[in-house]
Formats: sequence, C-alpha cells, structure tokens
Amino acid sequence: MATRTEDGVARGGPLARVLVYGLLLFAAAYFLLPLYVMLTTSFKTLGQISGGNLFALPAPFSLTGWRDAWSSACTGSDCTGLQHYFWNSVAFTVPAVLLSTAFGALNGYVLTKWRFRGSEIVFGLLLVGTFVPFQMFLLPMARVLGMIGLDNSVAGLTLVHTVYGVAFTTLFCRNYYVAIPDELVKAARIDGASFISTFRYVILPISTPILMVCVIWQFTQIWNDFLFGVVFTSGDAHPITVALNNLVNTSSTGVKRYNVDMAGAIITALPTLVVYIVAGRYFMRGLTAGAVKG
Amino acid sequence: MAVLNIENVSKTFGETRVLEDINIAMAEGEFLILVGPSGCGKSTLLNMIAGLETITEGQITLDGRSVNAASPRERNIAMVFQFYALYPNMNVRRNIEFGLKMRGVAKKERGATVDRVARMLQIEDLLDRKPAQLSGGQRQRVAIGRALARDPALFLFDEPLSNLDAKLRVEMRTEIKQLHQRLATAMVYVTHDQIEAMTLGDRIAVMHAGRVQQLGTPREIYDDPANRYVAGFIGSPAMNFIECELSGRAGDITVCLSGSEGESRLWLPAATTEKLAAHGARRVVMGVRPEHLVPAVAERAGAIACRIDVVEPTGPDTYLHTEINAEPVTARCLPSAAPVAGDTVALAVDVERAVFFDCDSEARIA
Repeated sequence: MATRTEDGVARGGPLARVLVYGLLLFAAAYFLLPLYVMLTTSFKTLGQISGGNLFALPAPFSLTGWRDAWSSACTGSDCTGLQHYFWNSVAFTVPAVLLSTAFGALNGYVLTKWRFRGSEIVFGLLLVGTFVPFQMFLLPMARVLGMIGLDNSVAGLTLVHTVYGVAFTTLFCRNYYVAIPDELVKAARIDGASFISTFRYVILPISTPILMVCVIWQFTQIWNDFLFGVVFTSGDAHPITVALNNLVNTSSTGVKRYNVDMAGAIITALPTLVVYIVAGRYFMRGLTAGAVKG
Repeated sequence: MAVLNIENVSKTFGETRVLEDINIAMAEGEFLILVGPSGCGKSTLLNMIAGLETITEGQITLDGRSVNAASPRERNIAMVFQFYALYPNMNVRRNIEFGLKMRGVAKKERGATVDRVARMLQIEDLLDRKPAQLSGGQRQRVAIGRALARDPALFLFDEPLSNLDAKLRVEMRTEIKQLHQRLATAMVYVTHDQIEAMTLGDRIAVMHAGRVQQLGTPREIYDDPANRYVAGFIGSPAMNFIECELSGRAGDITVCLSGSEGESRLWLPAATTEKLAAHGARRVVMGVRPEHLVPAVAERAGAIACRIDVVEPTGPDTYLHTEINAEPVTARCLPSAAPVAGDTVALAVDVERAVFFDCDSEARIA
C-alpha cells in the first residue's frame, strides 16, 4: 500500500499514519503526564490532595504550596524556604557557566588555529577529562578546596564546576572551530590582527551556535548537580538541588506536604527550562553546524 | 632596489624538506608567478613571504629589510586567498576596512579608503552586503579590495581564481592584469595553472619538488625551457618528447625519426649539433612543441609519414595524434587542412625550434 509521493519517498497509507501518530501521542503523554501531575498538585490545597484524585484539576486554586516552598518551608532546621538556596545556585552557576564557556572557546581556538608542538596531546588529555566520572573528583577536589581555603563556599563550587566543565566546552568548541577555514585566521593576521583581536573580531562573532551549546550543556550540568553540592558545601552554602532534597525529607508535622514538594521541584527545574527555551533554537543548529559547513 | 629578495631559503617540516635553496629577487612593480603542481612548495613559499610560516634557512628581505623574524603585521604586504577568506560576520565595507582598523587608522580615513577601493573594483553597491550574499566572483573582488585598501608594498595572491568557473576565471584574470598595470605594485601570484602563469606574469618561477626549476620571462620559459620538467609543464597541448638516436659527428649530426608509414633523417642546425657533440650522448630526448610539428607543405625532404589516429578540432587549431619512434605525439594543423583519422600525413619538424634533453638527468642539452 506504499505509494509514490511527490518527493519520491514512499510513505505508508492512512493506517500507518494513524499508528505513527498514535505512538507519538502516547510517547508525548508518557513524558508530559508527570509534569501535569506536578503542576496541578502544586496548586492544590493539602485537603484536596489527601482527598484522592491525582489527575483532578486544582479546586480551589491555591498558591500556598508555592509561597511556602519559596519562603517558609523547612529544609532541615532552617525554615526560610528555597529562596536563599535558589540564589546560591544562581551565584555559582552563572559565573561557572560563563567562565567554562569562555575558557572552552579560547582553548578550542588555540587548539585549532594556533597549534603548537604537543597541542594534540593537550587536547587528548583534555578529552580524558570528559571521561572522568564525578565521583573520582570528590576526594582530591575536597583536599584542594581545603588547601586554598575555598571549602564550603559558593566560590569553591564555582571553581569545581568551571574546572570540570572546561573539558566538555573545549571539546565542543574545538570541534566547531576545526570546521572554520584556517585561511580566515591567516587573513586576519595579514590584516594585522593580534591573537586576541582575531578571536574577538573574527572567531567570536561566528561562534554563537557553539557558545549556546556550551551554555545550555553547562547550565544544565551545573544547576542540576547534586553530588558536588552536597559534598563540598554544608548548611547555608548548599545549592538548591540539595536544599530541595532536604525540603522533601523534612516534615515537622509528620504530614507530607505534596503541594510544597511539587512547587519546590518545579522552582528547582525552572531555570534550566528557561535556558532551553531561550537558547534552544541554537542548540540543534550548533550541534550540527560543524557537520554541514565546508 | 629589489622589493622582495629571497636568498638561499629552505624549509623543512620535521624530517621533510619542502623547499630547497630558493633564490628569487623581485624588481619594483614586477608581476612574479610561482607555478607548479600541488605539493611543489609554492604556497609554502608564499606563506613564508607573508610571515605565516617560519623560515628554516636563508633570508627574506622586503624593501631591503630582513623580515625573517617579523610578524605578518609588521610586513608591508596584503594577501588574497584561494577561498576568499572573507570575514562572514562582517559586511563588505567592514571586511575591506578591517586591516586599516587593526592598524589604528581613523574612521573617517577608513571610509574614504573603502569608497576609493569600491569605486576602483566597481563594488560600491555591495558594500552593505554580507559575504554569504555575494557570488563567487563578487567575493573574490571584495577579497582583492581588502588587499588594495592597505596600499601595501607587495601583493600576494594564493591561487585566487581556482575556485571560479572557467568563464569568470578568464575575466578576473584580465582584471587582475589591468589592476597590476594601473597600480604598478609588485605582485607574487601562486597558481598551478600554466595558462594563468603565462598570461599574467612578467616572470615565472616554475617550481617542482621544492626547487625552482627555472626562473624567467614567459617567453624564455616557453621557448627555452631549462629541463624536461619545465618543457612538459608549460604549454598546452604539452610538448612532444621523442626518444631518438643521434648519428654522425660534430657539425654533421642527424637524428632518425620513424613514423608508422616511413622514416626520415633530419639534419640538425649547427648551434644544436655543437652542444650535442659536446655532451656526447648518443641517445637523447628530443622536445618538439605541437606547433613545430606540422603537415609538410609539399613533398619535402625530412617529412615523416604518419598514420593519424585521432583528429581533435579545437576551433582555431586542429590537433592530430599519432606516433613517432613509438611514442605518442601531437601535431598541429589548420582546421581547413585537417585530415581525417586514418589518413597518412607527412609531418615536418621545425628542427630550429627543437630542444634536446638528457635521457636520465632530464637536463637540457641543446
């Protein structure tokens, strides 16, 4: 029942169509349902939640869960909600993302356009960094942070995430810059541009897609990180992921406040979602750009 | 004073020797061509002049100043690349003025320069476009404009036309030649295309295997090739090489050529025989360009009877393919007098223009 179509690609008949769309809709529902439950639950009152129907719409519509999660829920002994930890996470994620992206871009530029003796070995070593699991980092990094006096601080987490992320951003940028013709850099040098001004005026302006890839990747990794946060910080310096865990596991009254938990989880996940939506259209373009450019 | 002086320059990449003892001096306003097959080192030499590659041995001077240690920025040069190398994020105006900006030229002056260059190259209406919105020919024109803006002492061209289609290439070739006549600035032009080399150059350096095989005017290179390589590389269709036996003594040397339908003995001119006698070899390679191997006007002594295998009309000329001394050769004739394939034609060799090479060393004998 396959028929030839205009573009010469054989497609199935109506039955196949229904099957394909059915499967797609099922997959979409499968992934969206938990989000639906989270959202509706976060706007319900505790009364309605204990009343039973998981899929019911919130009635009455209540913002208590969100308000409590943000400003008054208890995370351990501290009962000021997630807001403090949210800003903690912002405080180390933003600089760590920017720094690791900047270093990655510079590294990629040097490794492709200003090659030096042994640059392939340096790249190889950096590549190894992408295979090192988080856990192997913990002990040596804890020692280093202690020695330089950055343990239990936002600055310490910034450093850890920057160092860990540079391997990835270097890999991304290097592979992107490899596809940019060397002649461009030669032309800039003939035009009198220095190492830095070539980067600034010629390379950086055409790097947007790959920088977006780095930002999204790094932001997701760093914001969502739990392990480094829980190991290298304590108490006040925790990132939001650790605070969320504490919030969910602390119940002063013995009653699980699902609306607060759900609102807290959404607050924690929201920034990565925003970054995807804002920078996402560059993401796919960036990942494939190197492959199609000549 | 020489604008550019290349003295005893060599280049090695690790163990590989890519350039060997290069010596070229370039006069003011000269158009010098570096021509050779890919891998002959011509682009490397150009990059060394530009300062994009280091010099392993020897010295390069620009305007009397050694530039061995100078960065590209410190050399008064501009370069046009094969793949245009326009900055994709900048419009044409900003591409052209980038070099001036990097050298701290004031904005107003930059604007005036861009306008002057754009007028000269007739790209005024393209100034606000991005490179992606331009055709290949327009891009190369902008790339030339970028080089012109700086008003350098020396222009370097790295196969600038090899990316254009055939028709555009011929047009741009003429334009570059006109540009050179107008500017009278020295230019070094790298190409693998021997027609570009012949048509553009005041002098040509034919390069092969890291060495300059011959440096001379297009006429010298064409009429008086230094060795078999140069003779074969320059000229289209290529020169015929016929291995042959010499007989006789100094002052009276003859060469025996046999076509498929008969053989013939040719007496060589006195100047040639002296050199051949001095060299002493009995077996040599005779080089005859197709235009010097033509159908004999009348039954003439020395004409070689050959069966024509293939007839190739090209328009102005018709080329005939046959064999002499069992080697494939190409002869030229007027289209009006062209035979058909299978005909037997008596071919005459212009012995005055024939050249002779050593069989082994391929060096020129006479």
